[in-house]
Amino acid sequence: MILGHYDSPPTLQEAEVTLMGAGAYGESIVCHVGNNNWIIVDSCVNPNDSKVPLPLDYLTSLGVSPLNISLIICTHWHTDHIRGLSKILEAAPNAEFCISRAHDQNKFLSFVGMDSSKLLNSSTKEFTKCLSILKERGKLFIDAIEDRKIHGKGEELGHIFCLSPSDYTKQIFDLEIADLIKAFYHPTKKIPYSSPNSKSIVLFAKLGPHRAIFGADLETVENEHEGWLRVMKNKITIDNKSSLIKISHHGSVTGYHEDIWNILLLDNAVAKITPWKLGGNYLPKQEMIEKYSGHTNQLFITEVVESHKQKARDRDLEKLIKSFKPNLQEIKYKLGIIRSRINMNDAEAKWQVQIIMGAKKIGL
Amino acid sequence: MTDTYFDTFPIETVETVPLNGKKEKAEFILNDAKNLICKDFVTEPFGDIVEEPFRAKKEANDFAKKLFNNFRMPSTYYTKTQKWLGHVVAINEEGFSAVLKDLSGGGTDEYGEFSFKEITEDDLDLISLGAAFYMSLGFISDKGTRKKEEEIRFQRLADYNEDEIINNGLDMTSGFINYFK
Repeated sequence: MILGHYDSPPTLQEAEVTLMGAGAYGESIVCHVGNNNWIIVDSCVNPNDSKVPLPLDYLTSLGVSPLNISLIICTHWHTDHIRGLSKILEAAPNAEFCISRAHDQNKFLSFVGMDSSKLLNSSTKEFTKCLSILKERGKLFIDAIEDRKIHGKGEELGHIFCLSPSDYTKQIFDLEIADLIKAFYHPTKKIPYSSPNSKSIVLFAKLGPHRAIFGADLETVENEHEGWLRVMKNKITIDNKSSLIKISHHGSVTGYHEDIWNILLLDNAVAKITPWKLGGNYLPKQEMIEKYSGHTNQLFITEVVESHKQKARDRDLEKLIKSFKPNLQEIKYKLGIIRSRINMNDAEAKWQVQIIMGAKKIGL
Repeated sequence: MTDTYFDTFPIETVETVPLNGKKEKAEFILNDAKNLICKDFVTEPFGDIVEEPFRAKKEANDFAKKLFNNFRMPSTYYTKTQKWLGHVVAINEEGFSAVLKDLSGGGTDEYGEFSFKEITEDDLDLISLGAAFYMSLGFISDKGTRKKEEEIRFQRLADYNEDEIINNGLDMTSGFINYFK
């Protein structure tokens, strides 16, 4: 188990928003929406032991049964968001499954089928497994679109809404799928990371009197009909400012817009980031950390990015690799957890934040 | 037959094998042949000897015994190798970078930068964003002399045309399309 001991679950009236970051091996939000109902947003794994996805492992640490998972959301199918998702769905028979698809469902499913039939271990394989599980169960998926409520009924304390993707984005997605098929139809090609961040599902959580935004990987783009500009222009669902945000796209420049902080968030909101690193590229940059620190003194990160070294192996092989490929770096696995809880029956309550394992509060 | 055993099988199947005695040699050949057969890698590589894939364990054993009876040590084999499956994540004027999945030890992935000079001329046209390749590094034992060797090979599969791929996708997901409509 992740925490190595029996940890205390939240009370029935307490909301919990726990962000887990496992570097390149993914990120996930585990959210308690009251009355022992749990929601999982995306998934991540430990590459050295990927039998149990980390969100499930975390719930086990709390003594929570997967039967209490009522909703699983796949914000988009990049590998750093989807690894292990089918195992979570498999273990959670009561869960609904929410995705963002293109308007043209047949084209979308054909694209998924094409990519998942490749030899490479693509993230659409994980997605296809999820669709198979739903089919076996006789269930349908929930199609995410802005302003759609995807969880919560009547007097329940926790309600979850989608803030993106927009209708426009879903129409564009139809065209992009055609382009992706053209560019990456070959069975030996893996679809690179550049698409579909704009299709990310951004969530708005109403947790009693408190509000939270889970930003996925949504970016600010020039077109005001999609991305963060659209979220801020639309605002139909947003009834109050949020006191917590999962910062989008690893704190990148494009994941930021000043008005997210001015319009959507309360002063000094709890802000959480998962970093990202590949070779010499990494997120967030120092300038962005400073920008976020200007908005809040409650800025947390799941891991401090460090330079990567060569992977440990048999000594002869290590020497051999060093002589042939001295620049080969291990993509390190390091888990960090930022847990926040708040009483949903108390409008004056503040988030209680706990940092676990590799996570850090920035500024400390 | 004896001389062609290692020519017929992919060289990477012959690794980390301390062939010190008759017993070890027998175990190696039996296991290797059984593994190959069980993994369905063998279809018809032995011409007149094997015309169809092996399906039964007994057939696999009998075949491995035949191999053993006629076996001679190859002059060249790998003693230790590390293998990866990579895919290209970025390309620049001098080369490309890739994420590599560790096929030998599993666990964490790796990241590496490659110069076009490291790639054989035949493979240069295959380098593109998302393209997959195999990389292996190893020690070769050649008539008692140990040498280092590196191999980078881009995946080559028969090209499909776009319609075929779309149809494959449709076949693959026709069940979903009918179900989720």
